[in-house]
Amino acid sequence: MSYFSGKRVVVTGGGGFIGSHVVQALRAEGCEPFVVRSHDYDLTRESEVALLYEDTRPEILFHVAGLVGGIGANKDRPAEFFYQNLTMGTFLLHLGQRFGLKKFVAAGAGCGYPQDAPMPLKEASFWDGPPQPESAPYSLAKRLLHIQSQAYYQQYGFNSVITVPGNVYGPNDNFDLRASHVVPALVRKFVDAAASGDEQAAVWGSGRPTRDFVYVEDVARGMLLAAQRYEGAELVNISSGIETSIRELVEALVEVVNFRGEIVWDDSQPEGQPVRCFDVSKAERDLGWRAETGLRPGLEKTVAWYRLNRATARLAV
Amino acid sequence: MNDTERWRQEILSQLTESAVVQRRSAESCGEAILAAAALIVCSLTQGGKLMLCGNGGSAADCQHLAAELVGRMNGRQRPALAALALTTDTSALTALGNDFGYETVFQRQVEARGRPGDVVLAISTSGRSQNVLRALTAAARAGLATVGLTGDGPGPLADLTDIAIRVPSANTQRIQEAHIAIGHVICYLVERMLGAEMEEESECLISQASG
Repeated sequence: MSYFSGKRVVVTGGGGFIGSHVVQALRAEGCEPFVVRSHDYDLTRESEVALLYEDTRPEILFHVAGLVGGIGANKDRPAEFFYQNLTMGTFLLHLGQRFGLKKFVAAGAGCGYPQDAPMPLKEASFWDGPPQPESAPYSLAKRLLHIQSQAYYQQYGFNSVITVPGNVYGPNDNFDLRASHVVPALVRKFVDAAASGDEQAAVWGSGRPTRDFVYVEDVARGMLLAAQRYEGAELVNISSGIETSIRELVEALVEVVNFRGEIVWDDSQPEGQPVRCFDVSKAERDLGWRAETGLRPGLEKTVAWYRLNRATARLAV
Repeated sequence: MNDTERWRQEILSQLTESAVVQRRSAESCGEAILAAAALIVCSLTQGGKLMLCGNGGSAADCQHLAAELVGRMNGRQRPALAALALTTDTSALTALGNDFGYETVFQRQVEARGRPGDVVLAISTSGRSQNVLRALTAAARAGLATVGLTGDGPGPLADLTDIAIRVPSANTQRIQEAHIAIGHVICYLVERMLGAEMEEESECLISQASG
């Protein structure tokens, strides 16, 4: 009998990237969660959030809905990124307390850490300075959820966890080039280049910056464990803790995709912060969790998913 | 050299050549084989199916490999996997061959049964079999992903597939021998990869397979 079986659980954003994997992980635990989709409840409206709680009366809520995207999308629509993410989180947590929710688990933002925080990023330095300005409207909205969760624990004893993932990748990600992050963008680039027999593929930057890539199923499993084990108002990193350079990522992808062409590094293009890596000792200690999927097997599954999805997408063309 | 000795030499030579081609396939096709297995696993876990087509010995391979997946190769109990050889329905094959032309016998079946998210595995040693090529074009049109097993000749099959596994040989028999060996490896990998998924998500997978 698992912790989740028979419990009333709600997943916001359950049709999205991380949310769909949280739903699958719950099903594997014998729990059929209620999946909230944006066309059923507009979570940026307090009245609809109240309706959601009245309709579903959950014991545990995973808040994985969010307006998300890469740097480009953050630059184009900063107001929407701020308002939608702030209101969803604020209303869900506030009314969750009112409606007797036992535990609130939310996906935080890795970019919410201070821009100049020492590496690897420790939970203790979450508030030590401002985040990178490019995505501040998004990441500060997410940061405020942490303050709110601490306030509600202090005043009402309301239990919540904010899980902060690194660079999450995997099946069901957004592969739309305008909105996507580095892994889906590169997967798409190399699968498409290999399929059309291109002799060259261009990659932005020098390949030297490092990121902390974590496979989405590992993140979902970590979020379930956080829901199960934590009481109080916690913030916990859920990432691999392994620094991988963009060059290493590209080399692994070239193998997985079987791309035979030449890679051209375009040094003139921006490449973001030089190093991003998370300290994962808290999750290991408190949850007994660590990322189990290596980059290579994770990429194999991601590439396979994109290939199938790409075939399906041909229908729309 | 007497006749018996000559035949013995021939046996040694042919079997050795087969082993060498398979060894070279391991070196040059390893990544493509792994990618094909991952693709099939991804499709099956999402409720898709694998459809196989080919002619002659390749048709026999299609049936053989479909049977491995519907049944079981190694290890413990597992759900049946949705694999279908398009080479076995003599009524469909003769009707389509007679009424529409032999080049349509697989294409029409892909159009009838293929759904987005399915995978077509096409086997052609030359890479030029018209009915196989037409099946691949129909698959792409219908939103299916495709894997090709072929040789290293210039046939267009490799260009029509998402993943091409090209056995480095020009000898039809040696290519076919490598094909069935690679097919066995793919079935083995699919079974093992699904086994790993099932440990984590047994109920989910079983309900999908039976649903």
